Amino acid sequence: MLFNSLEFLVFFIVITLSYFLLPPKLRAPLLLFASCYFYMAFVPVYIFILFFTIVVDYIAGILLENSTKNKKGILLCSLVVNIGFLCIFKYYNFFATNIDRGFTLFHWNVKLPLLAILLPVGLSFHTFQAMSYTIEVYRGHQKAERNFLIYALYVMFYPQLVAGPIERPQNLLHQFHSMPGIRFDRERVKSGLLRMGFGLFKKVVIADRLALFVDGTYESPHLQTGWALVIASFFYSFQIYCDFSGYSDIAIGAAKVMGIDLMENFRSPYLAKSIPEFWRRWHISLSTWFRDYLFIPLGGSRVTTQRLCFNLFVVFLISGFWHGANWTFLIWGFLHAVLMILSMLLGKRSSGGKKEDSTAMKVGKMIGVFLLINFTWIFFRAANIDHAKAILKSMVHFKLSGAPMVFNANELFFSGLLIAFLVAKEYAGKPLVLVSNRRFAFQLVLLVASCYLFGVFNYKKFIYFQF
Amino acid sequence: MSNQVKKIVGWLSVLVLVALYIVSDSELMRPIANTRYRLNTMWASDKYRYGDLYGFSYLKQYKYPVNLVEGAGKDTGVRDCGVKRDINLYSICDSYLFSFVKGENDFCRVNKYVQIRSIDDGVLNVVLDKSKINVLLIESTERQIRNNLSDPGFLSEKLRADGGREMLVLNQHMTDITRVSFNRGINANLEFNLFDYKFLTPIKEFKAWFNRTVFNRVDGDVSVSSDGARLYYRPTTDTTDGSLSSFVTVSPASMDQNIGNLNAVATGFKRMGFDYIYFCGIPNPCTVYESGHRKYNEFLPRLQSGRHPDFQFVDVYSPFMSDHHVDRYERSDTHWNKAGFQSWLGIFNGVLDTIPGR
Repeated sequence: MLFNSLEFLVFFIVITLSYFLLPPKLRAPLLLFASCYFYMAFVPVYIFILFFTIVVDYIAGILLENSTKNKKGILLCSLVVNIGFLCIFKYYNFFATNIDRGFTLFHWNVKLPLLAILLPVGLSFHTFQAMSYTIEVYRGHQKAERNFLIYALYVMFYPQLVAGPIERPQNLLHQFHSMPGIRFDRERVKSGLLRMGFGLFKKVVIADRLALFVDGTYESPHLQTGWALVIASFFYSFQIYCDFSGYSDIAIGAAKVMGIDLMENFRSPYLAKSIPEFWRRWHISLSTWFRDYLFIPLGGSRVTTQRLCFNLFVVFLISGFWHGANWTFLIWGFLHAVLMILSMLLGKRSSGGKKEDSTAMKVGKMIGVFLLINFTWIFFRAANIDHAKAILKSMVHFKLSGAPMVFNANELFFSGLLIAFLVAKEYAGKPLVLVSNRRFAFQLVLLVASCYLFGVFNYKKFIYFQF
Repeated sequence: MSNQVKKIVGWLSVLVLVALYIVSDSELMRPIANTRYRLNTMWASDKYRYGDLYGFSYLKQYKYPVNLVEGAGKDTGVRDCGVKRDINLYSICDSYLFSFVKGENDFCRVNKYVQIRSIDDGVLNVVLDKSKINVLLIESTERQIRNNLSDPGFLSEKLRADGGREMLVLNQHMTDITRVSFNRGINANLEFNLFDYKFLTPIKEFKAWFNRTVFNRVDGDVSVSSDGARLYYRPTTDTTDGSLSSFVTVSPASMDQNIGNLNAVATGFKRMGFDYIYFCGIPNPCTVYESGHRKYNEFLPRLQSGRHPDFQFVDVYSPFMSDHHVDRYERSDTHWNKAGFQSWLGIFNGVLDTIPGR
């Protein structure tokens, strides 16, 4: 069930109304039922995989709390089950194909069987969320959850089930326990609905419009002009941002309507003035996950320079691989590791006696960082390495001949205008203000009308669903 | 409003929405949709009244009244083939025939006509009467041929002759609860129930006009012909995704595979006891009307030139192309019009007339 579908609109209204109308103690079962239905609307049978991992992690949590000796073994079992499913569904075919290629180098004609299976939607998200629970219980930062229903809801809470934010047990579990006490708060509901409306605007008006240009251009990069590819890569930076942050806005807004606070996932990432700052603003729930459960256990940043470089490479390569089983994602991760290392080394050298940057300097840095990030997105978006190479070649040589552009001048201008509006809104940093019911109604109607009139409705999936 | 009243209103809203969700199931929708297509009030639906391509795009300039079913089979100009009714005709077809053929009287010499759609999730069980000439017609629009032939079993399993009663057996793969709960067509059906009303059509047409005029863009499923006179189903004119397109090159290996699979299907039916098997590929509208503007991949003529010992082609490609200025297809719909159907019928009746008597 996509957030940008009528099915979700009906589902959301029914569940939210029932949530406030039912006796408060029935809220958790209702949300769990709704979450199961939401998940099963994609591929019903995959609910069993999810259910199995929930049972394993629920038991692991209790065993971890009760045991004193075998804690590591229990944690390992839980992680193996979670990562095992991820490996089978997401990475098996990638490894099998590459092992086959390796064999052919030695003239061994061995063909490993490939699995004809569909990747369960949001697998990487709920797996990471489940792992953060067992790790936190292992570390003693979180009490094991004894209420199975609440734990299942922690993994399955429908607004963030398939594409995050990847929550932490400390933030979510206590909110579910106190759910019966949540009262209907008109201001929260209004603010949640506006957030959802703006998320939908980002998705259907900006992201899906830019997708028309990006998809049409990236599909056959060899046929495109250099100019079209430059515009497509620029557009893709905003497409992926609006697509993913739009999803997060709808998720956070939907939860807010029900009185649940989810963590923020984006803080105007393209306004970052350095690469580390970009990672503090982009997909925050994932970058903090890697920081807390991988980077810091590896030693973090308080180590030798060589070790720091190693740690960053490990984290970013795994982060790239988390996004997908393709060499393009690994290159994307590698490039970010290189950029992070360079930026940290340069930062160390220039530290001390720091002056406040002028506005021009700040803007210059923002543009510089954006261009670097934009460059890395080429690998992220390209279908394969050959396509990425063709794109870069056409850009560098500024190939003049090629297929006509997907958009006419008016739509290019309009897309640019939308991007300018987005950047200006983020630069201004003002949240949607709620003063009166009338203003709220006006803003909501304006958002819905804009979504309808300027939106591109092709039920296009959110990009991060594939991860 | 008191809390009690608020609760009642809330629960009523929930019930209404759940009911709306349930009736948006494809099976339950059929009678609702048929009724609303027949109406002409503000609550009627304009979605298919002016052609499916108009319904996708809402481009007002292509708003032509379309009536695909009524009257098409009348006045078909069936030639006088005598009173002899010695042919039993079976057909595996798509909507091009399914919506148009009225029955055996449309055809020359035909005693009985039975059809099954290739998209139907079922099987037609036939009892071949050996005292008659049993003819099987496999009809497919050009855009569907490659999909239909990608797995030879797909067409072969549409029809069987294993004795018993002659009947169409439709499968019910999913139970009703699963079907209603996880209904794949839910969004289209909800859209139909919530926003598909005649009084909303001007808003949709305004949006379509705006996108067309300002951005030179039409709905993703539709493309406009080179002369601007008609709409096409976009996958047939696509230049990137080739499986339905008339303009993406089809490799010789792929052609050989299609012909091989078609032969395998025909051989299977021949063994089943059919006396004559015919295959008819109906050209995509863009194949006919873009012939002077874009380079056609020659799929149909290449298919028809392949070796085919167990069946014959009903060639509608050549006559349709030779007088491509004739309006044989609807301008705002993926189907042909009455003239197109009647041209085909004339050609096919000519073929039936050449079958030697028993």
